[in-house]
Amino acid sequence: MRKYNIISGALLFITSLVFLLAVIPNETAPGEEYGMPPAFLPNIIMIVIGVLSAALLLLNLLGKKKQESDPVPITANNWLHLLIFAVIILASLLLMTAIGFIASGALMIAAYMIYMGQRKIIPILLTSIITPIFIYYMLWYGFTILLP
Amino acid sequence: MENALLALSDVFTISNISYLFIGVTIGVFVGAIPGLNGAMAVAIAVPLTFYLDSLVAIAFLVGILKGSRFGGSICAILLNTPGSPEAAATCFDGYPLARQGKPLKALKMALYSSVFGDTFSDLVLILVAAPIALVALKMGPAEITSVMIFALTMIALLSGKSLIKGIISGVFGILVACVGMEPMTATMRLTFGSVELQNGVPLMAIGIGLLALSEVIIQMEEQIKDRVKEENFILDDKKTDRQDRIVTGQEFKGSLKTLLRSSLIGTGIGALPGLGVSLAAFLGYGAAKRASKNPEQFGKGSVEGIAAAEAANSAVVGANLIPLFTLGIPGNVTAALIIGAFMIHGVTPGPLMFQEQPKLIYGIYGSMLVADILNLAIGGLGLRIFAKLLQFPKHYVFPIITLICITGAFMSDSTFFAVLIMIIFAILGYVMKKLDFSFVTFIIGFVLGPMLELSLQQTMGISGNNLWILVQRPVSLAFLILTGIVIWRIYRSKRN
Repeated sequence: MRKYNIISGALLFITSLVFLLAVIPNETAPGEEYGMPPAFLPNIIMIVIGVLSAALLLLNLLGKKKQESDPVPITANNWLHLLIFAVIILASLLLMTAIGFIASGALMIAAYMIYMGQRKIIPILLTSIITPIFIYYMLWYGFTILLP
Repeated sequence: MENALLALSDVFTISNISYLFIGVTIGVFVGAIPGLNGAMAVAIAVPLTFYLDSLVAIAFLVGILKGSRFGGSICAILLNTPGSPEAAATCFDGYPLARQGKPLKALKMALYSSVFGDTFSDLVLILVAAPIALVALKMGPAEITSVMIFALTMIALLSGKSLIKGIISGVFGILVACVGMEPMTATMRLTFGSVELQNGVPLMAIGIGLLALSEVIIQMEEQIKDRVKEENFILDDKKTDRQDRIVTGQEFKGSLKTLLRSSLIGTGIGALPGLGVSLAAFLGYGAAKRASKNPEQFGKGSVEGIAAAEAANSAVVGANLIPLFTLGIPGNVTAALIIGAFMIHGVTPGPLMFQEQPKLIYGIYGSMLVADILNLAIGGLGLRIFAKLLQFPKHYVFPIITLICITGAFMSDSTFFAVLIMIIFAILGYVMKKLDFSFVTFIIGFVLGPMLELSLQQTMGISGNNLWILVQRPVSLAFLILTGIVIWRIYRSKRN
């Protein structure tokens, strides 16, 4: 965790500087002359984040190495899992705009079921087809909500 | 009185009772499935409440919360796997009692204790909320600003292992809340030219992403790694004696003191922002063990142990609404989501609600008490069905929940942009959970952000841009000193 605290501390510190020096001045209109300027709170927040992330960075850099076998919070496998999950869900989101909720929802459920280790074709087909149809029509007839 | 009677007629409408019934059933259902919890269900259900009457909407969400508290104990008792962190203390005695061939006794004690604790805290809420709101109404913007700083600091400090990371998460939540239109002057901020961001980042998309979808990613990962134990404790009680299937009057009477003590602990903890349900359960359990005549029985299947943990964790539900109703401050993540539901219906939670929406308040009180009765009935009658849910394969559950999350996010804003925001925050939530940055503090910071900014602006306005007013007003100063003391005490205790 120590290594990740150093990395996240450094990243947050850089982010706070970027926000304070570039993003907030450029992305916030000056506002009215009276009262609190619109950039006041974002600036205060980024100063707090900057100070605290510097503290996180320094405490972990200067602190004693307590455990040599410090557990790694996010491994390469975790990143890979996150990537696969994100690709499937983003692809179905893209498909949803083109082929609609039912078809893309069915494809997404099937993809996740296969990814999670399900190999039997009948349960995959039944679950992936019935679920989006059920949700679609339940929302339409129950709440008059029309999904894409 | 007139409002209370009018509200009563709203509580007993077919629509309200039906949604309470559905809410409690969904709650128990969700709580019983390991990996799912009440907060996830509330996050996904809030967009559905767009289309409901305000009382029915809040009652529905409260029903889910109440049901999920008991639901979490089902897998704690039968699988020795808490469905949610707060049910962990229930495992200590619930599972050993189930192993002794008395799973129904354990489940029934959990149900009765859960309903007892829940009803107790509802009654405390009903009794104390209005008087506290009267006091809160006398507070000015400076006092409200200090109370919010105090609440947010407490939540930030207590929600994770690291104080620094807790505070970073909270202020980061406030930063995300700054995106869009500034509340006083309607000036655009941090929108990066996006039209969709002009109305701010949608709360429900963040809630579903951080609470539900990020948890789905983690649970899928666990499932793929095959780390989840599927050792189900089958509920087969046909061969057991009747005495082992029920909670006897003597057992319930013997646990009455424990139930009252735990309910008091849970209510006290629920009323304070940020302390969390798990703490209540463990404190209730610890206190019961210390006070018990048979402490050696604890951990070996003591009925009193189950009562202590369940009454304490369920007593948090009603008490969590005390800071929400009286100050407009969410004490935990589900209260933050309920604020979202209130706002959908044009109601701003806080002390003014007692003046502006008395009928709604009494309606919520009545619905909460009806939900307790429904929880007892649904839990009691459906025990065997809910126990069967534990055998439901996870490779069906999580893909379906993912599609429900997409549906929920889409419904919250009727745009794909909200779904995209949900996915971004799900990924962020996954990383935050792994790196121990509290997502709870983030969401509460996000919800409190606009309120904090508004009260800060009002404070600056009445004081002529002089922030020293915060230390010149006695109540405001008291809360700031309290904040300092809390930071110091927690820092010391975490160091030790």
